Amino acid sequence: MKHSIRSWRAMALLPMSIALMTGTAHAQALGEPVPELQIAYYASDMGPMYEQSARVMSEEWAKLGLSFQLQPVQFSAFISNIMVGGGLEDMAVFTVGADPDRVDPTYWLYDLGACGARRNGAKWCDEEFTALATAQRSQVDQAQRLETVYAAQQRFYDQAPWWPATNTVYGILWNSDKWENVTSPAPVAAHEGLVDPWLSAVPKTDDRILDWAYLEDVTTYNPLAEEGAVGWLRFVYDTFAKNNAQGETVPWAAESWEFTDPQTVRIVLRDGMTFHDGKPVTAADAAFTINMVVEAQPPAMSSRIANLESAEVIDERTFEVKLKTSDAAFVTTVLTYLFILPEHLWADYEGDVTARDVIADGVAIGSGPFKFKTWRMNEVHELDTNTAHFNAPQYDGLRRLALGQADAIRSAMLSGAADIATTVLPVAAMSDLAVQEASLDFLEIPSHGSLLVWLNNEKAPFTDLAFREALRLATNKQRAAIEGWLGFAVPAGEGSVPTQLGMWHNSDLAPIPFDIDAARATLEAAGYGWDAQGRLHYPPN
Amino acid sequence: MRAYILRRLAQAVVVVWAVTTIMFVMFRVMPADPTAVLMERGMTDAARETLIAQWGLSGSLWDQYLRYMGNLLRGDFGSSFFYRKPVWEVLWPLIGNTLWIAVPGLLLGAFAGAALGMLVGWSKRGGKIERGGIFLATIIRGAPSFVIGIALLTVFSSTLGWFPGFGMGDPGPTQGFARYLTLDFLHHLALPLIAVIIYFLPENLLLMRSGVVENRTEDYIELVRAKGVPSSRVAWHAARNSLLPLITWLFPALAETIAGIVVIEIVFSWPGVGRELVLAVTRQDYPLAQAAFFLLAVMIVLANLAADLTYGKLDPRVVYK
Repeated sequence: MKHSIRSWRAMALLPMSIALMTGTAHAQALGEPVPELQIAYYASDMGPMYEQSARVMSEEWAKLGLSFQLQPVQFSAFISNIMVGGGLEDMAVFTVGADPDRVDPTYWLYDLGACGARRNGAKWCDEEFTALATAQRSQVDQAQRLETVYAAQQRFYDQAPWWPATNTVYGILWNSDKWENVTSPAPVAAHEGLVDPWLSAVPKTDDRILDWAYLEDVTTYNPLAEEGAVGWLRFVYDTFAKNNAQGETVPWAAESWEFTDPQTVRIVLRDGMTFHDGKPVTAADAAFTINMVVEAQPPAMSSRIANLESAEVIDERTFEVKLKTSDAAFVTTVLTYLFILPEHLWADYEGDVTARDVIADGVAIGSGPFKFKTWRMNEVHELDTNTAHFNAPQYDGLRRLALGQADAIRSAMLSGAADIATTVLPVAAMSDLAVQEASLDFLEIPSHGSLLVWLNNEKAPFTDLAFREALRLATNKQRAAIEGWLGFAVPAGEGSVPTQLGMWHNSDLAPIPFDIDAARATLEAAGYGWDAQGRLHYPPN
Repeated sequence: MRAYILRRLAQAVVVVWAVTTIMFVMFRVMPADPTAVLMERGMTDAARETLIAQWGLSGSLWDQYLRYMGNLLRGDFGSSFFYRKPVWEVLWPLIGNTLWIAVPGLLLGAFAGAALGMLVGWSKRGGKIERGGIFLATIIRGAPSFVIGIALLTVFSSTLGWFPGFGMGDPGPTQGFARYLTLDFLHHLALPLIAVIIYFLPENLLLMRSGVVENRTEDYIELVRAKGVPSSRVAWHAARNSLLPLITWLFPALAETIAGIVVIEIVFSWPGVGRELVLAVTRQDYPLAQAAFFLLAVMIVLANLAADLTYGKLDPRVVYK
């Protein structure tokens, strides 16, 4: 299905009147008309926000004398064909999620913007920018890295190959009659960070089990096999570090870490940790797990483990990780992701570790704040609190209800059968429910998830900097946030690195106000013109 | 008779093969990629190739097809991409969950539909009961099953709070078959079961009514009436002879009901085959979706065969050639 926006016809009077006032447009020679541009966006199975955002932004862009064809694309086809397949025709309006590893600038600079990077679907290739984006990846000295990251953002800002329009706001809906101290995990969504509010929540009644209404089932309790289960398993299996709500990476199972050289990280484990079967967690377990991961190379983990070389035990609580190349994002993205498996339960396993059924084998055992209890497929997962954990929650257990669809989640929250719901309901719906129902409360989570406006940088008119700048000036972020996302998004800052990433965002980049007149003036100064119907034409020749 | 059965079985095999092939091709030509989510998260090309090979998606379409059919003949439906388990390990418990609402729903729907159909068919032609019965049956038959489900949820769960609105039971330690014997399970079963009964009732009502209307003017009914038999007994005579189309319809209806139950399972978050089928398609979990469709195809084909054979047993006028 394709929708056409031919608002340039409807807007014909505006440029004509401007032309009459300025006495410029019709007097000058015109080149070829700028053809209709295609805007790809996530189809409605991902929610109505994408079409709404594409529609409201294209309405504003049409005021430059452009016409658009809106084309919904199913999510997986978008990723395969456009994001990594190089099939972007003209423009795309879509979001990238607030994944925990995206609190590091590498994703926003290198992965989405460097020449030849796999997810650089906007096909921009700028050698100066790529050199900066590549350099920051290996600068383990934070001050030096910050300088490079800022310079890369400045170059990106000056070249405007694409830009963010909004940052997504997630939400938590919870039963405030039964629970308190439900804290925000911002900037990551609640189902990603797994610290807030899960470990902070406090029961107000005798019901000391936190019931989480969620959409779908967990795929596995084997962290080497996880694909759709990313997140939930980190309740059972501790990671070495966590990213907190302030955007900092803080110690978790690791007490401390340091780069002894650019390719070696020395990690000291927290003292006194035990697995759920009572055995102590040692550096040998950690090194064993990392070496097993390196050997097995689970495909789903590939983006995070590609740079791991090996691990070596130093003493009871200390081990070293060898990296293939220097990696500044190692702490933020890998230490917060890797887990510790008990060597005594895995060392003798002779089958394919990535296919091991840990439930059947009775080895769903980690050292995390919760212990595996039961799993009824497609229904419910039950975890008991690990009271021996260094950050044990103040309640007895957690249940994840796999309810399959939003209405059931709504019903569960209203009936009190569930205590908390996260991103599975539209944020506006969660907010409305909290207003309607006194027992429910709502928490907004401003995130670094971003709605991006992508351009095909290899194709005219997007190869022209002036055209890109004009389009950026005519991007109405406010309308996209209010009308596209019903208020549950905020206008994004400048540059590719979201403002929610704190220190990593270059706040020296001057805000670019939405200004149609300035956009038209930019085009005019670059030689573009408009015909009698108000349609934009390329400069002559 | 034996030749007929063999011929029908051969036809059934061809139909199932055709459905299986169409499903295989459809899932491969869909503009969707089961590795898309992982690619968006940055999976490397090498890892993607490994995963594609593990999932049996490498090689030409023809190679994949031959491999798939070879495995199918050995009873191997492959492993679910999502659960990383053999497909049957995932589907088997879900089939039981679906049958818990399908079979009682079908039988109770047939019984209630037949009883109401008899009442409507035996009532005064053009009277309030007949007009009301037909009107109600037509409305229900025309309503999508999700409307019935949502209406039940709104009234009996959200508004009155009499029944739980989702799932097959409260979270708890009860596992295995024992959980089906608890009051908690029956409490959760009630609304989806009622939805299936309502969904299934109109066809039976209308079939039974037509039969009774046809039979009530037959000579044998006049004869029974002339003997002075009470009206209710006369009605029973007409009803008994109207059961034939209803009984033969039960078999294909079972398959049809299971297909229709997909929506009811989604509305009530009932963890059955139907809900899993929809989730599998959404997740591009080809092996699971293909196996679920295969299962439905086999059931529909066998049900139709059973219906044809039963018809011959019940009606001596039917001759198999």
